[in-house]
Amino acid sequence: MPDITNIQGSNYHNQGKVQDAHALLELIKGCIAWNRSAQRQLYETYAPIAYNIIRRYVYKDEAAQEVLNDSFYKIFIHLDQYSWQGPFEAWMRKIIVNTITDYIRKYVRYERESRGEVGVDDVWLENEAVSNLSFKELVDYTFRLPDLQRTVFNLNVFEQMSHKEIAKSLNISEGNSRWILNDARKRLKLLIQSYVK
Amino acid sequence: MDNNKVHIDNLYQEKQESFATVPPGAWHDMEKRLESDSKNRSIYRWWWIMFGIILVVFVVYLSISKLEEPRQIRLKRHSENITGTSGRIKERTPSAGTSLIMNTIVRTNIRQTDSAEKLGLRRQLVVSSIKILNTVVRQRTGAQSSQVTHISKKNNKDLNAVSDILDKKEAITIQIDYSSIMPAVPDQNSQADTTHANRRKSRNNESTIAEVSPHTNGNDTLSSPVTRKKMKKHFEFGFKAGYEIGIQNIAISKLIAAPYVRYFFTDKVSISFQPTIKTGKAKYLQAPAAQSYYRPAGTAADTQVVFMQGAVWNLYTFHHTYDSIAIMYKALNKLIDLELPLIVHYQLSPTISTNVGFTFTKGRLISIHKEAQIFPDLVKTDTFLRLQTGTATHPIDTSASFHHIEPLYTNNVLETYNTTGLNPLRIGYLIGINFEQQRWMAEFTMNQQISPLPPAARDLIRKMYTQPHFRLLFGLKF
Repeated sequence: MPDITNIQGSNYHNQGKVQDAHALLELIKGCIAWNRSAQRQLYETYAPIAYNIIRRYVYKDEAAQEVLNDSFYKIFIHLDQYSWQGPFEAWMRKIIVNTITDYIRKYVRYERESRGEVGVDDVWLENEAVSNLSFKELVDYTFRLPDLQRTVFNLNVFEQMSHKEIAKSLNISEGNSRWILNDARKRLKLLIQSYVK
Repeated sequence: MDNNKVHIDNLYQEKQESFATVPPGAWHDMEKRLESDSKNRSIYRWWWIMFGIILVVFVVYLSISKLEEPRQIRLKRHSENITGTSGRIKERTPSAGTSLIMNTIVRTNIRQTDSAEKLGLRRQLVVSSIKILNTVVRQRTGAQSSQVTHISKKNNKDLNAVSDILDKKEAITIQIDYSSIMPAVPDQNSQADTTHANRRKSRNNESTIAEVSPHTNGNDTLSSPVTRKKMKKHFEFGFKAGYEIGIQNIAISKLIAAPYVRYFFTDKVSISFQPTIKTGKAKYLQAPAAQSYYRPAGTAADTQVVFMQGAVWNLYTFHHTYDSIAIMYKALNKLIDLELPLIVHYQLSPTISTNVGFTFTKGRLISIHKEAQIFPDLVKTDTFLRLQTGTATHPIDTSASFHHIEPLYTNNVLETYNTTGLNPLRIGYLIGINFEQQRWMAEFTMNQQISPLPPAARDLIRKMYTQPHFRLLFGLKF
């Protein structure tokens, strides 16, 4: 019997979370046994969380769904490798983010060379001016950035990945990751400012 | 920091919330994918079960064979063991249906440098070989021991004569013609063997120390003449494994494993049932499926003014950047087919037979994804002079300046063929040849699917299945 005290973890998405650790344990066991109803329950529970992560990176509906199902397929076939050590959602999230970066590396064209020195820029916005913006609007702005800038920004801001991790994940240099993040912030600031004016 | 300001990272983190909903058909697609995976898993499971059963049957068969091995076989093995240490026994078994053992040759090569100890060993070998062969012939012919003993005393050369020959350090060939004690039908192979042995004997200065006269008394005691035997109807079981390749580049090479059961109606005609598992995986399908295109990304022109022959020329240099785009076809799933062939064999000789049969194949047709591999920012350069008064004009029509081998990339829909995983029953034929040597065999066949595939399978997928394939299998009879 694995130690399941930590498998729930904390979740800022309140939707669809399995509240009972034992229920989650049974669900995972059912999925490992390739039980279709357990697989469906796990999918329907966590797909909304996964899809919201994916949609921050992938614009097209079809591609987002493909990444979603790729992620869940990997989750299902590797579920027996879940070590029960940390929160299940964090383990799942790692697979989802890896699937997203795999997709981006495969289908998105970007330059890998370094762009030189990174300056410190003012990327602060007037609180009052942006208070009315919804999260969806903010995400829409990120889709006006080049693919790589959006990816680096998302990985750093939402996944709290370091530049070293981002560089490894996207096969770019650390310096380039820093430059891209800085440039993404500057561009986003201009975009948001142009909207709120 | 000013409390009225918010960092852009914090803005995104604080406002984070669900903003997108999962498309309604997402689980349906996922389920289909899991369903397909379940089928693959179940095929693997059955494959392992089948492999386990065959292994168990094989082990049980070997155990029983060891326990109940006929003495005749043990004797034969014993003689082979002796041969392996210091000589060679060649037992010529006549073709099926003729008399049992026609000729047995014991041959040992003696070197001038051989030591006394080695000669002693060889002496023992020859003596025991003759004894064993005598025993074998008794087993197979039912002849009495006295008759067999008589064989080795032909021409007044008994077993003691071996010692003399060995002392002279001459090579020895012992040929015992068992046909002489059996009123068997004359066998051409036997005569050929004898002639061949005599020819070798004269060439190698070998001596024959035991030859059997056809006028031996043994004839009287044999109960009945040995006549040509007719093979009884019987089953044969075995296992084959090998590899299959297609004749076109888009084919998927497959590993093959097939247990079989074969039923012999006569010694010439047999029929076999051979359930076959075929697995293979192709990552990218090669040309001619692949196609390259070019996509212009922009044209930049540099101009220089050149004075030449008293006139003003403009030297235009164009840099044309473009992407080279290769449209590739990627196989998405592993190929696993279950083939149920029904094969008729006709024996051309004891070792060679021809095979003709029909195959019934079931397995999910492969899905293919069309994808673009982009090699970006390639540059083509062209330069030409134009006589022009005044300044150079831009843009200039450069379409005539740049020629690409590839066609222009326009709209290439990157779709997936056969997403539904068609699983039709496919009928085909096979024709081939089979080589058998005792318990081993090699089979070379050509097979092709003849039943048409559904329209959804697309031409590329259809070609993968309907092209002829060549298969090489190696097998073992149980």
